[in-house]
Amino acid sequence: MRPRHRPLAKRVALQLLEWYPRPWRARYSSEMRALLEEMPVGWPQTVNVAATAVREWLSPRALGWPARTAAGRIVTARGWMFLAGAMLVDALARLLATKISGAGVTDEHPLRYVVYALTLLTMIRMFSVPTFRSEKSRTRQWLGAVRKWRQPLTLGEIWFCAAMILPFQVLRYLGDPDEYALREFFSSFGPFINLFLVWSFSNHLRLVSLHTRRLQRVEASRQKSWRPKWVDPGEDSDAGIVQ
Amino acid sequence: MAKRPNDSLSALGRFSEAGFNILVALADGPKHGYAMMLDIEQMTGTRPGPGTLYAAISRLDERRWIEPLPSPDRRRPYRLTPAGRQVLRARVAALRNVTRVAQARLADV
Repeated sequence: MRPRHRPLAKRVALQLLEWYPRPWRARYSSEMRALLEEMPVGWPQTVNVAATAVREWLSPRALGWPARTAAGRIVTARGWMFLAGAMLVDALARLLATKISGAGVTDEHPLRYVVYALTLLTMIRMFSVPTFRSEKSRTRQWLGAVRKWRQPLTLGEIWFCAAMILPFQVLRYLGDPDEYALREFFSSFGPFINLFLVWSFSNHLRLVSLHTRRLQRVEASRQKSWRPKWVDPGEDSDAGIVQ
Repeated sequence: MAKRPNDSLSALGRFSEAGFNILVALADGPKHGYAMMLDIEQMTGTRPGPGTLYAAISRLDERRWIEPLPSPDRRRPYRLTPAGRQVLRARVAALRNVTRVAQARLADV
């Protein structure tokens, strides 16, 4: 049965195409848009488009595309790397704090303001990169300098952010060396709270690094290589296409 | 429960019927989405939804049972691959068996 044509339903259906998973859109969006523009679209067809979008998201295919797999491996490896790195830096900070406090330096040292300022700047940079960004916010021109500031972190910046744990933690241990010294590691709750802070920091950094430029390049290149290589249709193929 | 073989249309789950219809529609030559839709409507009396059609197309394409052809516009035609033709033949043979048994049993009644 020929569906009743409803212009509003067609507009909604075309909008709904934006709801499909990104790899799906990269591959099929333009031809499905052409189909919807060509055929009469009523509300049942629009509901069908919406329901299939939900199904595509629920399907393991939405996560299992080659681009996602390649990027996912990097994200997982990076998560472990951050956590291990943060723990290492934390242990180093304990040792440094013990040595420095032995030399008579306290957390009242004037250099602490430099450390606080750098840590604050690092935090602002980290939190200025939202984990999930809309297409609109990415292309908004008026943001100007802010837009540049909101660009994905480079690997160098991520390493800098991770390294900023060290001076900050050293200052914290200098404030209360007895509680956080290595010999007290298992005898009080302080270190465990501290480990939680380290874990939170590294986990946030990992989430932020989902938008590193390298990761975006991996996704882009894998998606490009996944796209089908057009086969030569031969001389007689076009003649058989039903219009 | 026996595991469904990955090389049969049943592996497409809820899209197996739509997938079968698409393979049949492409059996006589390449077609783009809308032409497939009209052909399926003519065969079955029901027009598949655009979402269902493309969900099935993407699954068939992923399994290399159909393949896209280059197109000057956005309407991309697809054609059946040899593997797709083999899957279609197997499905038609299975259906033929079921039909024969059903006809025989109905004749007995």
